[in-house]
Amino acid sequence: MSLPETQLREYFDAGVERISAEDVFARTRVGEGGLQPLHSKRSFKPAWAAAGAFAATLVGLGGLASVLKLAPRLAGEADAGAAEAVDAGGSTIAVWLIAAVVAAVAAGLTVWLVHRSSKRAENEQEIDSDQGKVTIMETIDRADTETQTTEKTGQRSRWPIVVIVVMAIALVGLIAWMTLATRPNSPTAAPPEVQQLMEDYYTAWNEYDADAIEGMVTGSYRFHEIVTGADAVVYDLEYLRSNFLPTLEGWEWHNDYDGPYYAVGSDFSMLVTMEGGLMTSPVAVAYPDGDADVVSVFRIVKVGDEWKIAEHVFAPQN
Amino acid sequence: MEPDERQAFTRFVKETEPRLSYALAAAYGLEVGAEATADALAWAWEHWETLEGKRNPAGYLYRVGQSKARRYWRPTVLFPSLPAAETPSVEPGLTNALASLSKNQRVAVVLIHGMEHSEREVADLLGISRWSVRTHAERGMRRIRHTLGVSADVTS
Repeated sequence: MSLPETQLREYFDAGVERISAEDVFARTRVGEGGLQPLHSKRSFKPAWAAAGAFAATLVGLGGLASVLKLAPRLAGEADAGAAEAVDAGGSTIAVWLIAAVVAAVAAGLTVWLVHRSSKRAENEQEIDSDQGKVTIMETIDRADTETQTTEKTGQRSRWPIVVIVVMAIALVGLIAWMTLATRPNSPTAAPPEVQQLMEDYYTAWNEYDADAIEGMVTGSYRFHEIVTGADAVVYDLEYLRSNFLPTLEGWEWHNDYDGPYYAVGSDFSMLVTMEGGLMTSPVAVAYPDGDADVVSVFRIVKVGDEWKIAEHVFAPQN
Repeated sequence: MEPDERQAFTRFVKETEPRLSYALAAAYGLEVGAEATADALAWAWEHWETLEGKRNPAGYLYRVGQSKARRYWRPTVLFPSLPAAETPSVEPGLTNALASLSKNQRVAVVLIHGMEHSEREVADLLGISRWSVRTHAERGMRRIRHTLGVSADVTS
């Protein structure tokens, strides 16, 4: 075995690419003469590829998410309006996060593929040269003098790194923004669990299901009906069960809301207003015109971990 | 550029380039080292008037080379195996042994033990004291010998 010192000399003598002053002059002339050196063995190609893949994936999936979010409104679905004021954005942020993960994976995969292909090309070049290294600086003669580059040779742009850093910051900002967007976007927007309670409650009413209603109200629940030109009436759950709901069923009563929910209150009690309700009752006696616009106002309270309806004020507007 | 400047630069390259090439190759690997050296020397020619007035132009240029090297994609293998025909006495473990050293250890080992430069020259190049260079070189060689399983009295 040779001395390590001998091995070091031999290895570096064979592997180090030497450069003469003439090489430097030639390289400078290339820059001045409008010739551009080929990027040699190492370049920023993988970085550019990563940046491109990352941006394309993020923009593509983000755009898809936006389209999916807008689709219900474009289609004119009835529920779209009700959801607007309390848009939790849960599905949107999920899509964005998926987009970010996919983008990161795509960028990594692209880097790996580009890196691998450049290594392969490099190896093939080395095999062809049968020297273990490439010692010739190749140039491309750019015939179009108007587009001649004035770049100094040997200098390579730092823009890919800048782009990657900016995109990383943008991604962090996007995630932060989306996280904030998941919160109710208005002080009067009802939180998602309250919205769900309202929808379940009205489903129970439309099915004349007193048992289901009982599961969503407090023991002291009261239903107030305010009809124009008449005194308000107040019912408890038992009256609803035994009289009012069977009457509505006989009328084929149905009520839908497509307006927003407004909520005012603290963590333990809240007033919720539902606008844009449309009550239909083709055989109703009380509403001979058939349809009526309605507004409901609820007082809801927190019982344990659940919101319960304590009072419901129902006000047909004609 | 004036002919005198070309001559002066040519002399500078003849004198400095070997140290610079081997140092940057040892520090950043063969590929990136070669690129960084070429970039640094091109920079030297473009800024010759500035460089000429420096007290330690080789050391200054080494730091330029370090800056240039950071712009390149760092290869996973710093020291690839070279064709056996060119390196008949190089043990397969040498490249791994080199990769396991710190950057300054590699530079010190290669320049002092491989290329027989003086500690002063290496200290000037790296911008550190001679004592530090000696420590780097000793520790680096000890580790290489240990990795290769050779003792100091092995003959070639």
